[in-house]
Amino acid sequence: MQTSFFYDATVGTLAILAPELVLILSAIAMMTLSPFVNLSRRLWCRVSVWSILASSAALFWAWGRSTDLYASAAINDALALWSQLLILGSGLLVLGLAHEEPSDERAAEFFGSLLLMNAGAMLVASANDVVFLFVGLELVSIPTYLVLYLTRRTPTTQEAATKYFYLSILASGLLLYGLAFLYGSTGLSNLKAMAYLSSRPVNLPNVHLALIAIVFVMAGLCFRVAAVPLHFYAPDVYQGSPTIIAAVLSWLPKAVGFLAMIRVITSVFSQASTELTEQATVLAWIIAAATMILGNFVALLQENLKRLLAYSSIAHAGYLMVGVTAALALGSHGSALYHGVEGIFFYLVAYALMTLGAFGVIIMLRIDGRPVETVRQLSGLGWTKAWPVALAMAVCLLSLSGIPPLLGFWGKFEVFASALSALNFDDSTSLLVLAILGVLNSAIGAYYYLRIVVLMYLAPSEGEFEIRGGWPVASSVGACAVLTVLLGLFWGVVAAPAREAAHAAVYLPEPSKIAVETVETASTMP
Amino acid sequence: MESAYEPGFFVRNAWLIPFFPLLGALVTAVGARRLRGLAHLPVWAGIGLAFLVSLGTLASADHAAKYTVFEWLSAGNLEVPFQVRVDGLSTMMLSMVTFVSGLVAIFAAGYMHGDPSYPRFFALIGLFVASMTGLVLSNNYLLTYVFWEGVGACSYLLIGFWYARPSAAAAAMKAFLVNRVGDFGFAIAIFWLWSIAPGHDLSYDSIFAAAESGSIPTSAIAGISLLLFWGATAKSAQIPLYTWLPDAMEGPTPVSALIHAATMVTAGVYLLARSMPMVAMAPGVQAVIAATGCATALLAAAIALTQNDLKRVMAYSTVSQLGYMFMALGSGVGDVAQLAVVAAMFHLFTHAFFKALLFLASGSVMHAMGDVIDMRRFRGLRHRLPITYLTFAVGALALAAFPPLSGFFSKDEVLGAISGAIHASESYSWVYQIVYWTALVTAFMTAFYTGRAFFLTFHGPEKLPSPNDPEAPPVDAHAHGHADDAHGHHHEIGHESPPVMAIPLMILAGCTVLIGLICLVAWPITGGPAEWFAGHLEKTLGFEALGHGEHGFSWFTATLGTLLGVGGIALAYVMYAEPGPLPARMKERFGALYRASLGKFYVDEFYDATVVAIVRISASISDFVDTYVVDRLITGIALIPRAIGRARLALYQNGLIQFYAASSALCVAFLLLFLVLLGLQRP
Repeated sequence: MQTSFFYDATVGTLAILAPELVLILSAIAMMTLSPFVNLSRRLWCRVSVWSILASSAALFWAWGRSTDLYASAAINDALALWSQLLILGSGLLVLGLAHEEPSDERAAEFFGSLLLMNAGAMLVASANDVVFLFVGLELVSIPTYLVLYLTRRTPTTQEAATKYFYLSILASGLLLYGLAFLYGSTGLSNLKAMAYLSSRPVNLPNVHLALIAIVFVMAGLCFRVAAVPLHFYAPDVYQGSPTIIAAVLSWLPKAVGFLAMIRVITSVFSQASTELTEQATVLAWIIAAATMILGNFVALLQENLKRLLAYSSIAHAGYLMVGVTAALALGSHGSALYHGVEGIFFYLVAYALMTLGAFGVIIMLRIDGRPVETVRQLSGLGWTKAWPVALAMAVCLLSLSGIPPLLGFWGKFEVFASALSALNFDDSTSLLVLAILGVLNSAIGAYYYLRIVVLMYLAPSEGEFEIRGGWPVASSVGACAVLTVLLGLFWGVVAAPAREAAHAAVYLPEPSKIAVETVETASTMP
Repeated sequence: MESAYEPGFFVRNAWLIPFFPLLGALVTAVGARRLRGLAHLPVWAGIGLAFLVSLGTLASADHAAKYTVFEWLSAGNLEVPFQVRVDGLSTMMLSMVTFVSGLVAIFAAGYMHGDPSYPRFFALIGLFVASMTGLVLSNNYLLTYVFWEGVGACSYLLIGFWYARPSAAAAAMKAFLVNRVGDFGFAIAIFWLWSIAPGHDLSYDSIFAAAESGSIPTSAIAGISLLLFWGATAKSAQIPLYTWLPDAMEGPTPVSALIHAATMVTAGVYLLARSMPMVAMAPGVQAVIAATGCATALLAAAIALTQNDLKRVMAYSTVSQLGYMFMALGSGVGDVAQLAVVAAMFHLFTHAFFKALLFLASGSVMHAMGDVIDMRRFRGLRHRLPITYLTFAVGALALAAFPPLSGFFSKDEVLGAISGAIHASESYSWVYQIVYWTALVTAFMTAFYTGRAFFLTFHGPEKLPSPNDPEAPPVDAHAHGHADDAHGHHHEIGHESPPVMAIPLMILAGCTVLIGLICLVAWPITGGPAEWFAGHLEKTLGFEALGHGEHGFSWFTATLGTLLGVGGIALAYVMYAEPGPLPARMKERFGALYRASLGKFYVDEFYDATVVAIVRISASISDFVDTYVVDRLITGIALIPRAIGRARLALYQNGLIQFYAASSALCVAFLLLFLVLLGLQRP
């Protein structure tokens, strides 16, 4: 009987992994074929776009299929579905931005790596098992090393690649160490089962081990999202690597990191013993506050555009950490007016659009035949023939600084509102302080974003601008700007899925008898 | 009872009344460049259609008639639907407002002809009519407040229509600021109502029902009524906030006629009449209202006695007549409550016609005199301006309450209401006693200053304004140049106005006579001169519950009032019909009083020295604090993040991978230690 239960669970899991499988298989096919056929990068890019579309079709095919939450390694809940849709959509935008980046002979590996990263991110979104989650995370990291190394072999890119590689290995080590402790403290690898166990009145077998697990897992994931104290790489790597890589690095690992945090930390430990939840909340609080402050304060000093966006990406990781803190503090109160997970998901959507749009503008623009590097070089862009680009940049920057009614504003609103609604369940005012810190930081952030807008429109131009990249880049940037405005006006379109995702993240049904037996057998194993 | 009511066609479509003028205004505003000299047409059409719909609503007026057009505001427990109320009071106001506005808009097409901002003028008039009708139609205090602010904004824009003239800009600013003071009271009243109304429902029916059932404490009713009256004193130009209205005459004359005589200034009266079911429950407040109205009527009449500017005489007369309306409203105590509100609204109704008439006639004089309005610079115009002369005469007689014109009957109703209050009021009888006799004295003064303005303008030897006139302001040729430069009057002076201006005058004069005749004819049939009006007004929300007192026509009051009116006109005739030594001798005899009246009793100077001075001082203190404390503080604080970033945080970004790894690891270790200690600290 148990055999058939496991068989069903495995087949079901494979079925819901169809979108990821499509991506992985096409990436493998591309990489294998590339030495034997000679195709242009445009064509490889087109193949990648088709495989993303095929993956989306598979996603819709798998829609509604489900497996037993306590037995399968991957699940297909609302959080997974909406996140995967987001990742696929952003994958299209990235392909649009990247279509001219690699040389013809390396294009297959480059686009294949991008597809693999997307597949890894989607695996993390649907992961329900620590091992599986780790595989997903590494499936994002390893192609990233490849992409960093592949594109251009100049000393600066090599330095960037090396830095990223070693620090990423360190972070993976920390994460793996934490996951090991997680397994050690529960005896389980299934995340829903862990959450179910920790929400029971009986304590976890070893609470103190769980604390170590939380700290190390969080530390490992902090690297992915570029949060303090593992943020150091971000400015150096962004500045040193090609712009398109910086764009991918600022978006995909961050999304993956926060999805992993939702899956492995907030969903599991928000319902654990009060002491453990409290410690986890304090940890997230400290990271959130430190990240926001550091990111914004140092960003004030930056003149280099990519470095500025790197610090801005750190600052946004801080805002997102406020959502994590709120999610931990809210616990099982999914019915709260605004849930932390809801805020995180909403913010990720907004962040994808505005940050990819801003990087896209840098990719598009050339001044006097050279790429734009410093903030000053954007002076006067608003009144040249490249004014649509300036407009898109202005929309993205205003959204990044959180000006209503753009999408970035609603993202901040949802995150800070979730912190405030956590106050209803938590007596301490620490979350109120965090929300206030967040708002103050947005005010500081507005300074360096608005400075660019001011320069673009009120300063005389310093050179001859030209636009390159053709329609794919232009339409990606345009889509980012237009969606930032439109979704800002109709934010319910994003808020409803975010709400569903939040409910799914904390959803814990009563396990079936067979699943309980499985869990019990597993937890009593030595 | 209310639920059984089925809204009829005109009730369901009453929202069209504000909508049509608004549409007209928008069309004019958008098509300004194309329409140019035809810019009045969309607004005429809008107001005309609104008037037709208003006439339709007259028949379907019912005290329960309301209709929710759409859900407007919904925030937390504040729900404000866009709901219209089509009862006796609102339909009467709507018909009057749209009718007078229509005539004024027609007149203005002639008066404003050639002005470079011709389309702007009509767009604003359309916007004003939309706001005013919206104010009257809305069924809750908040929506009323929105439109209340709307008419205030239109008034500001229209007073300052010739904004290039410093005096017009200053007058607009003054009107706006003084009205803000009043709006403040109204706003507080709404906040208070919101906090105590059942279900936070601000609609009139629920609030009056709550007031009647006693679920709103008496002290709150008194306080809210007083605050509403505070709001009304600004909009309807009562003491202490009346000073803006005479200055508002800087606007184009049609604006003065429409907004600052016939319609907008009655908004305060309307608000109190609308709230009568609640205000009538606070007799103390009623006495305050009556006394304020009385004092205003007397003061304004006393100032009007000596003014030389024809429009200013009319402006002070408006203030004074509004005072009468408030006297009547304030007399709504006990079983004469309904009588009082009917009297106030009837006077408002008749006043709208004859005062609009008088203003338009003054405008016609001004138009003919090349924008000169100083009565010392022209005389004896009766032969040159025959139509203006005759229509002005009708208006002046109505204002002086000469029977059987409309003004006679309405003033008599007001006096009757006050004398009723003397008997009905329990503890404030003496107040009404004083009010009654003061009102009679004021009636005499009204007749006198009206007669004075009339005789000075139209009688005596003919004289036209000329630059050589010793009364003409010496350097005024350029300052007043707007008349020729901007306003564009290039015609010869001293001719009767064109038909487009004369016909509205005749219609308004006809109405003034007609309303009087209706009263006269209806008297034997219905048992009272204004019963036909009262019958319609009775179909107003909450009015059927007000006290119905016995209302007989008081021959004593009527006779006394008429005698005083005739006496005033006669005195004016003796003094001013032909130039004589009498006025000069009077001036000498009552020198101090004359100067005080001419100087408007120095109320403006008093306000300047006290209120304005205090505000100015506090403004300069705030300015100082803002510039030197707040700004410096902000600039200082803004430096901190930058400094911290530069001095500390940026140092750790040194590019050494070993350092990054080591410090990350240390930080993680520190965090773990901290959390473990935190866990240990708790039991």
